[in-house]
Amino acid sequence: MSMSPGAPVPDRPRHDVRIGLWGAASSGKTTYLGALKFAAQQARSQWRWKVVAKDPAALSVLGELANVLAIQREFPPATFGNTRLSWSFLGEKPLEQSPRVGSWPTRDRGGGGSRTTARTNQIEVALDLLDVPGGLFDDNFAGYDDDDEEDELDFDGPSTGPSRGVVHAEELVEHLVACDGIIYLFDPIRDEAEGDAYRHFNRMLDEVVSRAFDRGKLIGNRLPHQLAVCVTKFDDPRVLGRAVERHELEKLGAKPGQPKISSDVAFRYFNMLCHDRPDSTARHVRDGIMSTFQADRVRFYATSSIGFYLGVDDRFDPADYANVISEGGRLRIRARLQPMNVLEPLVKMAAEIRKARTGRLV
Amino acid sequence: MADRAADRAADRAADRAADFVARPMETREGPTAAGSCPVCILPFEDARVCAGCGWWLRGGYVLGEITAELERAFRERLATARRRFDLRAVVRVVEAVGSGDPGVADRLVGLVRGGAPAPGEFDMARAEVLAGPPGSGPVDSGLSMAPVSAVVGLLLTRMVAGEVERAAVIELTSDAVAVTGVGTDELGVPYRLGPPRTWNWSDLLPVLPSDQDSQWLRLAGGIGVHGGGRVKQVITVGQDGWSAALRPVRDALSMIDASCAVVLVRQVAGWPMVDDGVRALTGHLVRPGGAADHEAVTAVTDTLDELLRLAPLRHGYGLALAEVDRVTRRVRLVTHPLFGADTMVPPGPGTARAAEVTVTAPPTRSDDLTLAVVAPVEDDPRQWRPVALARCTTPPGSAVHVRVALDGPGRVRFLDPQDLRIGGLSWPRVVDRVPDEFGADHADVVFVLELSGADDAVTARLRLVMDLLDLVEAEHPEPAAVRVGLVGYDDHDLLDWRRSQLPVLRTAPAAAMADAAVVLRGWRPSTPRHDYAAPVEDALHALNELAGVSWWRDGATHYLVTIGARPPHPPRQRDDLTAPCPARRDWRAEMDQLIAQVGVRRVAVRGTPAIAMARARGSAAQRADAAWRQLGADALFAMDDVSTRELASALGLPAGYGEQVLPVPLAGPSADSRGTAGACGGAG
Repeated sequence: MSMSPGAPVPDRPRHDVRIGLWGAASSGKTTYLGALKFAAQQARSQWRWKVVAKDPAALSVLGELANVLAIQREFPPATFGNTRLSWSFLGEKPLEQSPRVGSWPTRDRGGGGSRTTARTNQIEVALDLLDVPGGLFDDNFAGYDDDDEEDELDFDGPSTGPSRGVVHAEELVEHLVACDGIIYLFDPIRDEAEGDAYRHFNRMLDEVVSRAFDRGKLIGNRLPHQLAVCVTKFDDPRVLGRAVERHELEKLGAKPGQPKISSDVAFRYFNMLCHDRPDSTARHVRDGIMSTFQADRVRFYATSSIGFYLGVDDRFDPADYANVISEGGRLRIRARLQPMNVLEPLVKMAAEIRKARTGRLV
Repeated sequence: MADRAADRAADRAADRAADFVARPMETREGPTAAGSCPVCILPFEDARVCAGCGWWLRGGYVLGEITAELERAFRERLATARRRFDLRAVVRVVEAVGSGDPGVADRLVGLVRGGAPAPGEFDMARAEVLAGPPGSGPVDSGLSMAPVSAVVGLLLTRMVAGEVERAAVIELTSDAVAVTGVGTDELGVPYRLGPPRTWNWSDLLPVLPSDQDSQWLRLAGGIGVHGGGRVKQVITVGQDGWSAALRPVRDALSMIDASCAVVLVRQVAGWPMVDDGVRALTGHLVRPGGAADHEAVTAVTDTLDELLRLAPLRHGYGLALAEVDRVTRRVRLVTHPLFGADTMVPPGPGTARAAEVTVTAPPTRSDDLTLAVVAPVEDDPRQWRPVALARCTTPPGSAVHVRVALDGPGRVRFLDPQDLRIGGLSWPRVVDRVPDEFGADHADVVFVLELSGADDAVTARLRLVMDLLDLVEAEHPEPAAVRVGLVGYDDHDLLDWRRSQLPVLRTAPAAAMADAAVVLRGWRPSTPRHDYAAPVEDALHALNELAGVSWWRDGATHYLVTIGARPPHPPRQRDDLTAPCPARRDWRAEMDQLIAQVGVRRVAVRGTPAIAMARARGSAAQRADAAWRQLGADALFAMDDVSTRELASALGLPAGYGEQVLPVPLAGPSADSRGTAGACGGAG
């Protein structure tokens, strides 16, 4: 599933948007990738989306993740190699349903965008993602041995040459610099437990800024990237139970189907985490984001790769919504995946990038 | 001719007996009376031979002069006759009172007429008395000596049977005539109604010698010297003045109710004058129109007290025992027979009948166990009549050997056990203390068991319960009082909605411990499906709602014993990874309902979950602690170090009977009894 650092980069698609996925170990990066397929299938906007693997690796990963998530109902194992995945998101909007075919769906679903021809009621957004181990984002990362199978830190002994891990880290930095946008997965559960979000964030951010400066890509003193801060695992009671008030929780079940939790809730929750504990590193992460990215290119999302558990009435139940069951020390997915705010950041980011390039959405 | 004349004279003398004494005279050889036999003082007229003693009153003619030699020979013959006559009386007295008065023989020999007895003369007199009829003497008493059982037993039997309420006992002793009223109590035990009314012989017969020895000699049929000389009256056997003499006694008897039986008891055998008195009284009592219903019986030698002691029992006597119905546990007082009705103590001094029975001390605190010998005269134990009560201290459940002696009606002594304390509670108080039901405290124990988990963890839980049941079965005084229900819970399969709706309980309604153990042996561990909770709430719900299943008995102590590792599912999602109960059951509400409706005592044994509760994050660990504190509100043990005995003690199961007290022994399988008769001694 992984690709060697020297492997040739496939031909770029016609509409090339390169997006990097960034997050600490166990932050759910691989799960997020696997959930994209289901999110595309379940999208209920004017546009219908489909994920198409553009290379054998992506195809394999796509199938494997679907199997693990939907059939085995487990979470994919930790990633321990860089995996470049080239996928195309094919969007289609029926002509009869909208005269403004080709426009990107926006957050209010009515979003602006350029008109397109009758032939352009289909659209392709090509994604080139590099799925990497979370450890590569670690502030203290010094490479890993070939025998390592975990995202472990290694402080032992100087290396005589660049290890495979160091090569991966270099590739990752290059990848993120080259990306047009970054999806940053912030795992509040891990941060609460480990308090290492900033540690995983800080060094990589400095490397990316430094390399972008070298490449002359900085806009002023900030990175040019679009940044989607996805506060993950929002289905988890440990997150949702703190992120929303009781009355807000009750309202989530007002309508059938998966509820949508707004970006405001995600942002509020993230800020709450920043102030939650005096020793919280989330605040450093937030400050790093705000001081490194352009403010109008940063968006927060309340993300759940697996979605909430819905009962037989297909309605959110405030009393029973967790979609994970801990069994034998492993988390199992309780019901079918219904990702929340998984596709949305990607689509929104691609739209913004295209808009920035072409001055129009398409 | 002379013989016929003598016979006529004798007849006339007998006819004049009513004159009491005729022509009294006194000589140095003792009192004499004119017209009376010089030997026995029996009056006569024309008889040649005394009808009383056979002395020739008028012999043939003597030819020639009455020589001094003839007179001397006559005097010797007369003295010998008188001496031997009196010696027989001495023998009678000695036989009657000699055992209590060793010197009476010597004293009375000094009173006999005719001088000191020749060698062998006293023995000869004794042989004559003992060989002859009881009344042998100058006048045959004519009284038969019936056995005591036949004579008095009949009357006492009638009295004990309630046919005769009261009796008057006329005792004729060596010194007096005594009349004693005898009645029976509610048990039919004869007793003296009051002190006897007594007339000394000298009061009835003032002319008797005042000296006691002389009086005895006279009553026994002798005459004695009594100072010698002529006297106006010589009262002796055969006199016919008894009617007047016994008037005070007759007057007293006339006051007795006509339905009252009268018993004549002659305590001195063969004293002719006493026999005369008996005869006179008997004649009075049986004369027509007088007291036809009176029981006129005679001649026993026992004291009245002894007679009463030998009376039969109106009611049987038994040892009061408690009988507990094995099913209903109702307590019923019963008696174990010791002495049946009509039982009599065998005659003889100090005799008694004995009976013994081995009973069982109550299997509870019995430091004041009452041994009660009662007469079960009614069905209602409260109406039983106590005969003897004693208390003892016995180890719970021990065999108690009880041995009692019957000394007579209403007279029972405990011989065993040895450490008895006499007295204590009255019988009504004992009855009051007998509970309506008795038995070990009913205990209903429902074990709620977590069955999902690693084999060794689940097996340890099952083993703990089985060991507990074995312990209780072995040590509980009444294992049947304990019933055990089982509710095992497997995990909800939350990954499969359909299966998540299936019941997760394995139940076994309350049953005997052995049956519960059989069920437990068939239970196997199941696969755990969730790390942080188990359906305890479903188990509690089943105890509240499972229709048709009886978990608890009224009156029993109810125990809920939860043994597991994981806490119950919460009713709704909280801020951690603990899944809520699929049925939204609230274990707290279920528990509250159990407490309110059943009043369970909560004991819990908490194990260590395979996955630490802390990994569920949020408040899961705190909630788990709180839940186990509730489940084990009365006693909470850690699975790693709980012992079976500790758990049993927490449940209070070995104690069994609590504060229950049974004041009397139980009839047990070891009970048997034997009865014996003879002399008994021992406690009491």
